Amino acid sequence: MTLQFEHALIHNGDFVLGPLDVQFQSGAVTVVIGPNGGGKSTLLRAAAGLLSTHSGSARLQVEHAHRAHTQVSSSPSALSLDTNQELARITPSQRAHLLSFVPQRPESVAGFSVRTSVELGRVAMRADAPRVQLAMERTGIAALADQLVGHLSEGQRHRVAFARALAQRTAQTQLLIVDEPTSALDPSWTRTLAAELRHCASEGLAVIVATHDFAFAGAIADDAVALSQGKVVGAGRAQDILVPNILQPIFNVPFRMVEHLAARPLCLPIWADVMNAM
Amino acid sequence: MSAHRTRIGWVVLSLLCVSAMACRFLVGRDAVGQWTFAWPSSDSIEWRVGALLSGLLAGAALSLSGIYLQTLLRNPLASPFVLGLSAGSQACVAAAYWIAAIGGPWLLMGGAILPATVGALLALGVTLYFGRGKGGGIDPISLVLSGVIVGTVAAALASLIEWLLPLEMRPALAGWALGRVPEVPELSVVIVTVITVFAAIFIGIRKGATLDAMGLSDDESASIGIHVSRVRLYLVLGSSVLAAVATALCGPLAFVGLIGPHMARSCVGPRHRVSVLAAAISGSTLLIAADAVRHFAPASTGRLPVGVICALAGGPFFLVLLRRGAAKAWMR
Repeated sequence: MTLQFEHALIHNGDFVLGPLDVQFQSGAVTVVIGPNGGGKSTLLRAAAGLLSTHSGSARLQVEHAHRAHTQVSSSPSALSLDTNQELARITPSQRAHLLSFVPQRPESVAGFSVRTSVELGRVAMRADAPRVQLAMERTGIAALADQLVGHLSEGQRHRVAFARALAQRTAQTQLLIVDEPTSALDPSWTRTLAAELRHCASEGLAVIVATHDFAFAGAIADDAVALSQGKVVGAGRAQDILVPNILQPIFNVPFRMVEHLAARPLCLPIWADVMNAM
Repeated sequence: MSAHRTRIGWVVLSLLCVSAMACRFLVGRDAVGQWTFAWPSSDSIEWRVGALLSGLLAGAALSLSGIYLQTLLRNPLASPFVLGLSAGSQACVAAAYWIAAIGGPWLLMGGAILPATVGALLALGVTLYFGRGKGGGIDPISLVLSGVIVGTVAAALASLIEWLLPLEMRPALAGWALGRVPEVPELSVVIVTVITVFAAIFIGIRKGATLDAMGLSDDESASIGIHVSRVRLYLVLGSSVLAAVATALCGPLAFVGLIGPHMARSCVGPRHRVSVLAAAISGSTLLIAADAVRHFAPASTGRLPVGVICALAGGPFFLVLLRRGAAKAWMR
């Protein structure tokens, strides 16, 4: 599966993103980086089909082989996708089967328990209690299942939203889109989330993650898209994009390649000037 | 909420409803205007049953309107009275009477329901338009403020139009405008209300999960497969028609539509699959109880309108909700 934006212009209120020529591949984690207001959330919402393209196109190409495979295990309400589908034309029910989306600030419904909130992910499809249970276990909230979401911390509520996205998965699911997941998370959950996102990619999903956390980005990314002021500054393999030459100008802070921490070098913002001036 | 607690909630709710109905059936007034509490005489049984039916239907419709408005706006302070729908209906019904007074009674052929629906929709539209926050999102408190102003203006308009009516038409409309549960309800209004209430309950139960999902942010509900704008449109239309039929039947009644949904959720939990029916029962219970209580007021010269009881009991409830920061807790 490929999600391809071609010369796409996306309007989000007064903000314009584009022209956009990027693509997202199944089986790969693509991180979207850029300063606040650079267009990350706009790109993610467009990829989820929640914003339509003003001009140009956003198309979803599903390979025949994969289609045949999904049709075998399809549910009665299964989506029938053309091999080459304009993203703006899919129905809400098709969207639910096709992709999961975790917004930056997930909301919870007052008075709902954790389990009920996670079950909401399956509103458009058949209830699946084992999958809901599995989603809660993988996000570490199974012990909180009967607590009210309103009583949870922000980080825990984010886990609930991510569990909802996992519970929503079906055999047809192609895309997982997560907007700035690490802003409210402690390191342990950030690590779990990174592993979970890699796991989803290994199962064949195209994973799109917006983030400001460069250690997190470097650890999970196959591909990267760098955005600044509504324009694509760079798109391609992560090792070509997550480099000081590209990141330094758009963030206005020094970046350095840090070797030997992990199998691959990480490109991290290192600004010693504040400490040096103490 | 556990299944056990939900079961207890249903029992409590049913007991409350049955006791309210029994009270209303037994309470009455003797020749000198003193209240009585006894089995009604054979000629007044029909009236008591009529009042019970009116209260049952109007209370359910108001409370259903309230729960759908609260779902639509993700705002626990929303209700047909607070957002101006009831007053909007009232003003349009008064206007319809006025037009009929000028142009001939055949203009009122369709009864009060049509103008009431137009009025409720208009009022909700204006309230939503002015209640929007700067970012396009809806701020719960400005929405309520906007609704209160719309309601006040519409009620003033209704009074103005009443004053323009010929003298002989005024008393009927004035009594209705204070809120009263009719003992001899108009058959056409009853039929439309029955259909509306049952449809609202049936759809609410069938589409419970969709309504639950409307509590999430727009992006989230859209991504889990909800046609957000379509569901919103249905909720706007449904809550307006429900508020309109209740107003056509009983006049503008305060706070039944606000307390009903809260009472339902505290008894059976927040899932619409159960809370919609519970809200209908709660609303009926509240209105019938208020209609029973008003008989105990020392009012030998006239009959205390039930609207007064509703406002007296409901106003403080609204303030408590406001104080508890209910609007904020809901938005989290």
